[in-house]
Order: sequence, then C-alpha cells, then structure tokens
Amino acid sequence: MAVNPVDPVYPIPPPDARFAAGLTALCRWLAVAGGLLLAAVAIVTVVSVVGRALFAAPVPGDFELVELGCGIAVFAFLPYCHLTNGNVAVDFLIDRLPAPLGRAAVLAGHLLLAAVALVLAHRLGAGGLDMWRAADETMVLQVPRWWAFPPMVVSALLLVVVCGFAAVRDLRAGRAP
Amino acid sequence: MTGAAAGGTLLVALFGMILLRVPVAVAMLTTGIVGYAALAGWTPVMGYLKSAAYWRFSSYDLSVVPLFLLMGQLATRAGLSRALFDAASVGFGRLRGGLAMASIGGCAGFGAICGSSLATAAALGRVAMPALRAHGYAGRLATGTLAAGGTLGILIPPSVILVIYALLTEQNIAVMFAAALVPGLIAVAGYLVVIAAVVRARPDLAPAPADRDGEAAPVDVAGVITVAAIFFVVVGGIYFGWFTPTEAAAIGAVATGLAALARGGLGRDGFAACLLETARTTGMIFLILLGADLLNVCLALTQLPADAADWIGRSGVSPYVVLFVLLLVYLVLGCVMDSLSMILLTVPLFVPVITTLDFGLDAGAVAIWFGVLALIVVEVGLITPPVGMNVFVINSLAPDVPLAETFRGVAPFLISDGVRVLLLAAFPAITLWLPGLLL
Repeated sequence: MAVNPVDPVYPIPPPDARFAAGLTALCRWLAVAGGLLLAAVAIVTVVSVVGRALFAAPVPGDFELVELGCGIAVFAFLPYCHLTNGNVAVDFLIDRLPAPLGRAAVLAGHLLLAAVALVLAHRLGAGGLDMWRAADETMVLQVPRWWAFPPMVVSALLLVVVCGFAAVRDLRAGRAP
Repeated sequence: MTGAAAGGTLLVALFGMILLRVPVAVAMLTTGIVGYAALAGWTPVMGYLKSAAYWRFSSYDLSVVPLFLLMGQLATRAGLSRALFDAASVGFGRLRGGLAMASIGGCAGFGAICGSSLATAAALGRVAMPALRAHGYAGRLATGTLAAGGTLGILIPPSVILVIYALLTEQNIAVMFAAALVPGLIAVAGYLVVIAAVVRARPDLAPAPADRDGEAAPVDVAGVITVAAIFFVVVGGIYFGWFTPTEAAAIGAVATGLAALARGGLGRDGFAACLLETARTTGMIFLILLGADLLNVCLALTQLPADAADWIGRSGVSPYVVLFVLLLVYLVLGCVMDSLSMILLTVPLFVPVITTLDFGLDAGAVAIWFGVLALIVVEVGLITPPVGMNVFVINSLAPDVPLAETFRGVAPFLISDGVRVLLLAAFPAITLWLPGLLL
C-alpha cells in the first residue's frame, strides 16, 4: 500500500520521540517481566513434578501459583503485543479501499480497543475491591485473590495509553501498519 | 427481535468490523460487550467484566498455551532444527530431491517439539533454504516445500490450536493430540510422495543426487536425541497421563531452555527475545479468547447455535454435505483470516451443529474427528493466496524467488492435503483409532 503524505484534515501533533521511546521501553520491560514470571511458573511446576515423582512431595498449591502467575503475565503481555501490531487483523479488503477510509478503520480499531481496555481497567478495579472486601483467598496457599488485580489494572491502563499512541502514530504514518 | 435475528445481527456486525481491519480480538470484544448489553442490559455486562478477564487469564488449563509457545521459541534458539535437517539429509541423501525430503523430515521432527506452524516454517527455513539453494534446487521447489512443511508444526503434537480446540469443546487434550498423530504422519508421507512425484515429472527442479556422501556434514547426534527425548517426555507424558498438559508444557519449556543454554544458543538478549516473542503471540491469543468468551455468552443468549443445530438436524440434509459445507467455509475464511481466529470464531457455532448429526459415531468422537479435519483445512489457508502466512515467512528467506513462483511450488502439496482430507473424512477410524486406545 502506498505511503500517503499526512493529510491536513488530521491536525494531530506527532508523538514526541522521547515519549515513543519511553513507552516502548516500558512495554518491553513489562512484557519481559511477565515472561520471567511465566518462566518462574514453569520452573516451579517442574520442581513440583520432580518432588512428586522422587519424594512424593510436590510444591503445595503449585497450580494456584501457575494460575496467579499466568494471569498476571498474560495481562503484562497485552500492551507490548498491541504496540508491536501483534493483534491480528484482516487487511484484505482495506488494501482495496480508498486510503482515507483505510486510515479511519485503523484509527477505529485503536480507539475501540482503548475504550474496551479502559472499561476493563475500571471493572477489574471494582472486581479487585470486591475480592478484597470479601477476603477471597485461594484454596491451598490462602493467597488473597485481590493481589492479582492491581498489576492487571496497571497493564490495562498502559494498554489504553498504547492504543492512543498507536492511533496518533498510524495517523501520522498515513497508512495501515 | 427473535433470537435468530439478534444472533444474525451480531455476526454481521462482527464480520463487518473484521473486514474493516478492526483487529479480530477487538471486533469480538466490542460486539460481545455491546451485544450483551443490548440483550441483557448494562448491569450484567459490567458485573461480568469485573472478574471475567481474571478467571479467563488465570486458568490452569489455558496456562499450557503460553508455556508451549515459550517452548517453541526456545527450541528455535537451541539450533535443533539444524540437527534434524542434517540427520534427515543423511537418510534421504541418495534420492533425487533428497534435500527437499529432508526438509519435510526436519519440519516433522521440529513440529514434535513446537506447536506452531510459523515457528516451524521459520526455524527449518533458516537452516534448509541456504542448503537447498546451494545444491541447485529450483526456487519454487525449495520455498513450496518449506512453506508446506511448516504446516506439520501444528498438525504433529504438541499443537497450540489443538489445545484451544480441546478446551473449547471440552475434550481431553491427550485425546486430541492422539487423534492428530496418525493424520500428521500421513501428512508427512503424502508430502514425501509429492516431492518424489514432482522431481520425477520435472527433473530440472532438483539436482541429481550426490554419488558419495563425501561432503555430508557430520550429524549432530546429541541434538537429534535431545529432540526425541523432549518429544517423548512431553507428548508421551500427556498420552500416558504421567502429568497434566500444563506440567508437560512446563517440563518441555524448561528442558528446551536448558538445551538451548547447553548448546550455546541462549544469551541474555536471546532469552529476552524469546520472552518478547512469546509475549506477543500470547497477548494476541488471550485477547481473542476473552473476546470469544463474551461473544459466546451473547450467542448463547440468542440461542442461535442451538437453533441452527436443531434446524439443520431436522432439514434432512446428508451429514456429509453439512461437513463438506463447513470445511468449505474454513477454506474461504482461510483466504483472509488466520487459523486461530477462525477456530475461535467458528467452533462455538459449528461444533454444536456437527455433533448433533448422525455419522454413526458418538458426539465426542465426532468432535475429535471434526477438530482434526478442521485443523488441516484451516492450515491450508496458511499456504494459499492471498494471505498465506507461511509462504510470506519462507519467501522472505529467499527474496529472489517471486511470490507467485512460491504459490506455484505449494500447489502440488495442496493436492496431497485435499486427498488427505477426503481420506480422513471417508474413514473416521484413521483419526479415532489411536485415541480409542487411550480411552
């Protein structure tokens, strides 16, 4: 698809280069942290399996650690995924439509995800408060369930920022990524 | 508004957004949330969203997905694809087209420790493409073979898409993996036959086989043994019930990580790259999963899946015609969508329909059989125009081969895929034999 000059109809200032670099670094850092958490989950699971096989002594509540770790890790992956255009989209039709329409569609995608992520952050905040008030705990390890929510809310809010950034970025580039 | 009309509106809105390049996950989430609110009011949606993402993302069963993805990433770092390709080259070296056959063998071996097509195509492509070109293989045979070979990554267990299909349809992951194994081996055999036939018909596409094994690279026996051991422990462990799929995936990830470390392929930057690539794919998959959850709640409220199953069941159409039409839908969708999105979008609608039809099998067996058929047809989308992702990956490794040449090179393999689908559809026992031994 041809690169179009920036359309003057969209007088949006370019994203600041330092902001772009900072946001990218933050998303990468969060994703790597999530990845390390996932690796830690894998290692705990292996230790548990070995302990169970050799000493009949698995790590107690290992599956609870897997659940908590994976939940937090997956949320931490979302901003990086969207920043690097990891969310699959169908550009079959858009490539055959006039460029302004394509740009509007790309913009709509980012803004819709921003809205969804914002609602999700707000609802997860409420859900975490519910869990905190109810003092909901996991069965074996008695980990308070609300512990998982603050990192999830932070990840969702970062996703909102990423969507806004990506919208401005793609508008400026004047083409579908 | 009737249930069917409401469900139809939802689906039209969904596919409209997807066609307008709204990311698949975002289209599903948006239609799901708005549709849920329209059908049941905002209060239940807002309540649902308080904890839906928490429960979906911290699910023990689903944790197998990021772990298998991490394992695949680490495997590409461990240089195991070269070991497999070299070993297969020794085996097939005496035949015309031997290196192309070795590429298929390498893909199959790598597929046994990697659950994704793209990763398999990329890992083998990097190793085999230079060798194929250096030995004078025609561009289209080289690229076509590797693009098609990549699809073995998803068919031969472990397979990320099969895990997700199993969870959606409440099938046992071990049973799904067992069901895919024999069709996977048939696929390998079919692709080898295709290469033999192609080089027989067009001897100019491949060089004459080397007379003696003088310049053959020494085989990395340790590497091949590592792959075999990891496959045996991970997939064998799931089959025989030694551990849960999540435990198996964790063991596989740690073992491939150690192998990569021991073989010197895993520095600090390399590890970070593995984590980031895992993060990217995992994020995509889970966002789609969350969207699919919401959408399924909506569709269930409209009762469209049940009504559709009921209607088709009473219409008296032959079950095989329905099966054929559903597989055709995958073929058409595969032209524009990726395999995972297709499976997640269609399974909640298709599986209730297909399992109520009378194929002379029980519903569980039909679900397993249909899953394997759907998986094969969905993978065809990866190697057909206009958006064959495997083809793009392989083509980027051989920039001098035009894209159209690559698609021409893939065509003979598609014939093999078609024959295999017909074979498996006509004889469900091929797919259901091995899972039958496990149950």
